[in-house]
Amino acid sequence: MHYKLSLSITGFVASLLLTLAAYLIIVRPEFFHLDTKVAIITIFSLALAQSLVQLIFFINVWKEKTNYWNLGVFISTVSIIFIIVFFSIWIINHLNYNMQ
Amino acid sequence: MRDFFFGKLTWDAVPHVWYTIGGTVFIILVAFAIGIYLTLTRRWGWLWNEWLTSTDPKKIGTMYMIFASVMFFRGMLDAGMVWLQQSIAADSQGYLTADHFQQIFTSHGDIMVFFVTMSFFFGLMNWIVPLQIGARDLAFPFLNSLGFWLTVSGGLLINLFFVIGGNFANTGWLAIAPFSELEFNPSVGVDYLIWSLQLSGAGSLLAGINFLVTIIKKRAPGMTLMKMPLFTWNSLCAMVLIISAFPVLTATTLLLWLDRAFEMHFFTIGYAGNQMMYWNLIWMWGHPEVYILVIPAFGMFSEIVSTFSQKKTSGYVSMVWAAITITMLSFLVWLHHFFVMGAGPSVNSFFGIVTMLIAIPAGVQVFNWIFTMYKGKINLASPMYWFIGFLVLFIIGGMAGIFMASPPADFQVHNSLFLVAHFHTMIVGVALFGIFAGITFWFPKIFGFKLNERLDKQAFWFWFVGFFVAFMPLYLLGFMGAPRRIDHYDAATGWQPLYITASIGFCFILCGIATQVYLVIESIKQRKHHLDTTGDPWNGRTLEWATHSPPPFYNFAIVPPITSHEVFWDMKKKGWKREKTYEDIECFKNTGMGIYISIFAFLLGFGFVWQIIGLIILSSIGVIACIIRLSFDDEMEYVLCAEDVAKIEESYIRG
Amino acid sequence: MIDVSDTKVFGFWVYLMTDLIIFAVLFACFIVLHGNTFNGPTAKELFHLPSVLAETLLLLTSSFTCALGMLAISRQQKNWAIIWFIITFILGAAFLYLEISEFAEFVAKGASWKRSAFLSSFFTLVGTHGLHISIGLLWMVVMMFRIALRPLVEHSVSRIFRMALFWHFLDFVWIFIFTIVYGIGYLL
Repeated sequence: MHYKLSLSITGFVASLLLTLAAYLIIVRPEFFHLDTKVAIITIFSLALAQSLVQLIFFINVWKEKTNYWNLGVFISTVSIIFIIVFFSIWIINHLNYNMQ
Repeated sequence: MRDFFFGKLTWDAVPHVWYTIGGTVFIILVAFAIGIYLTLTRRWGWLWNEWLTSTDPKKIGTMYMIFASVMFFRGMLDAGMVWLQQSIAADSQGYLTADHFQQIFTSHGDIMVFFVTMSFFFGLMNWIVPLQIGARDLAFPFLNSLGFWLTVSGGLLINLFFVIGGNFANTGWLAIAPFSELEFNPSVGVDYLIWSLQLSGAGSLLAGINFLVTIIKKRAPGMTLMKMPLFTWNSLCAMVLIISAFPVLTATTLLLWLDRAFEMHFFTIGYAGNQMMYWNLIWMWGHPEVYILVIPAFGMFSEIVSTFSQKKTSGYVSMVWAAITITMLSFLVWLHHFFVMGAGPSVNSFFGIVTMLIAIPAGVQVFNWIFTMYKGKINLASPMYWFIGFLVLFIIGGMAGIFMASPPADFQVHNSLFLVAHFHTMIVGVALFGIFAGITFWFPKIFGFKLNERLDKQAFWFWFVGFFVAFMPLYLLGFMGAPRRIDHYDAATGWQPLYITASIGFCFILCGIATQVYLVIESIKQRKHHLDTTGDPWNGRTLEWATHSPPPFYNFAIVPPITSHEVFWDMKKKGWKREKTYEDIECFKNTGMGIYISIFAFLLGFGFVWQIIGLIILSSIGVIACIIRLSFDDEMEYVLCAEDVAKIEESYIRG
Repeated sequence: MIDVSDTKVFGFWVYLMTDLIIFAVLFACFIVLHGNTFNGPTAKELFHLPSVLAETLLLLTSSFTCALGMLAISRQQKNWAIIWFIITFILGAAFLYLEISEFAEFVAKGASWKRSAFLSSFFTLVGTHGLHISIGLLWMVVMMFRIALRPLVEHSVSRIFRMALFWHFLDFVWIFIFTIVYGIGYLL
């Protein structure tokens, strides 16, 4: 695991910019001419981008060749998380609608 | 001030009904008997040094098996009380109150799932997985010990209500909200359920991580994934399910406890709680859990069938893919447990279809087992008896499951005795029969002598016939409309004869259990006649049979080169002889820290149950202090040098 | 210096995955329950976004200084490592202080976790993250003792690395708390 200062600084600056961008959209969506739905999608995409930045530059999940088990376990966890969150929303939406 | 020292404890918590007094007396008598025996034979030191503090997976595995057996008796006692009540309670209240009856089936479910089946499987995996992959120990020997002791502390907590508290949860094994909320269940029973599940869940999660990392990282050089034996493959799949699903259980039961202890409103009726979310989350864990219970059994049977047919398992690659597919699909079907809750046709059909898809890899496995037997030199030893019983029951129970996978059909039989019959067919017919088969199969490896074949086959017949007589009536009762969990019913329904038949079946099963107890005692008495001197009593095919019986604590003096998923069979074909050159081996020390941390964890759980603030603070500090102390201990390993290995090996060869 | 395919690191990584799944359940609950305010205070009424931004920047910076600490460790620079980890600790503690103040302010306004399902899920999700931060801070102190008292050999470095990994993941989760709880919760 080879540590480089440049990696950490790049990651920090990128995350900072992504955070500030998301913050501005949250407090002033009108400023960007975004209606609520688009604003939500945008800040969520910014979150995904920042999480990738942090994974790559701070957590270094892609770096080493020998890392493929770590990466594999991470990808399967992300799938499980997607199933948990997405399906819960879908199921509860339907339940709420049918079972007022 | 009172809260700090006593929380919700009052004098009411002292046992004052017949079953809590009886339970307390029994626990105290057993504890005294064990204590007196150990004192008279001066074995406290031996117990502590050789067993309790051990990090050797073979010893931890044996402790898991003993613990699971003890909890099995408790679970069967609950079962017997249920059967008796339902046989006599036609037009009468029977001998149990409704509330007591509900506590019994609740604890029956929790104990059998968490403390019996899972403990048996962790026991067998501890024994066999390191041997099968040519490893000396698990990846994290200390966590192995800690996981075991956390499970034991959970088992203590689930039985503690006999002594302090007086009642267990009456909510069913999954503590459905809002019935399990404060509004309907203000007493501590549900809290005992929650915290014993949290403790044992933490233990299971640690064991799951441990086995996953062991199988991935600690295989012998040359053993690629596709050269692993099928029991190891299936264990790997079960471990993936454990690490994916158990966090959901931890989170969900925590939310329920937060509702109860902090007046939160996740699942309460008022304040906009969403009770349906509880069922959604708990079954998100619950469904993978039942696959965790059966997938290792599939692996065990694959080993048994190929060994006793003296043939390579048919379709090894398809078996691996079947296991992986079942693992992935099992995380996409949980809604079939609540088709009736009203999610509507689009949601229900999605989950119904995916549930039916699981039949495909299951069928692949069934056919492969049968193809393995075809044209093999079949030896009908007792593990094969359990296998054939398993095959019949798996198919019957599986078909019942496919029937219920269709939402309209499920609407008729949901929460009826048909469902109860289905899941018992799977848990008893698949998981439990697998455990019995695995124990008989691997017993000579672990203890050095075989179990009495004749008695084991007798036990099988009692179990198999008993199971049919006990559970086939339940399928019928389900179709006749009998709901589950009822403590009494009208005689006019005509159900009583079927309930009574089921109880007769239970008596057969009791005979089976008695035979098994006698089997163990007799086999120990006759062990000199059934010694396994070669290490290979069944003409086995996989690596575990290449060690001595029982293996030395380091398993292999020298790990043999790996050629296929049937390494030992290949080795024997080439004329294998034990090597005599030895090397230094790195070993792990014994440690009592697993026990100390678990004691503090137990006290913490107890503190949470009774909301004793002082105890919560002190035991949290205890757990954290132990962990910090442990983190500074850099010398947990030691080296066994080659000369010492040679001495141990020579003593085996000398006999 | 650190072999990330090392067994202990991989084992800890798997544990972190299970921790992420616990958070996923809490997130699912928050999303499902965020509208269940029971006529009580809503996200828009309660959230004070500037202090949320401050918390986010504090935690992000602490993740950066933690990386600088690990860089010092990899260069065997014990003193710099301790300095960077002390700074990380201070930033993390400041984050925690702001978060606890926010909680206290809500409770004082009558918007405690008992008020509605929305507030229960808010306090639980953000509170669980805060609990992990507290554990991370304690772990950091223990590791600072280790750096000071023990030689920086492989098994020590591995332990410190695992602590740093834990700390990075806490910021990773916070991205989603910031976005989903404070962001989407506020916008909807």
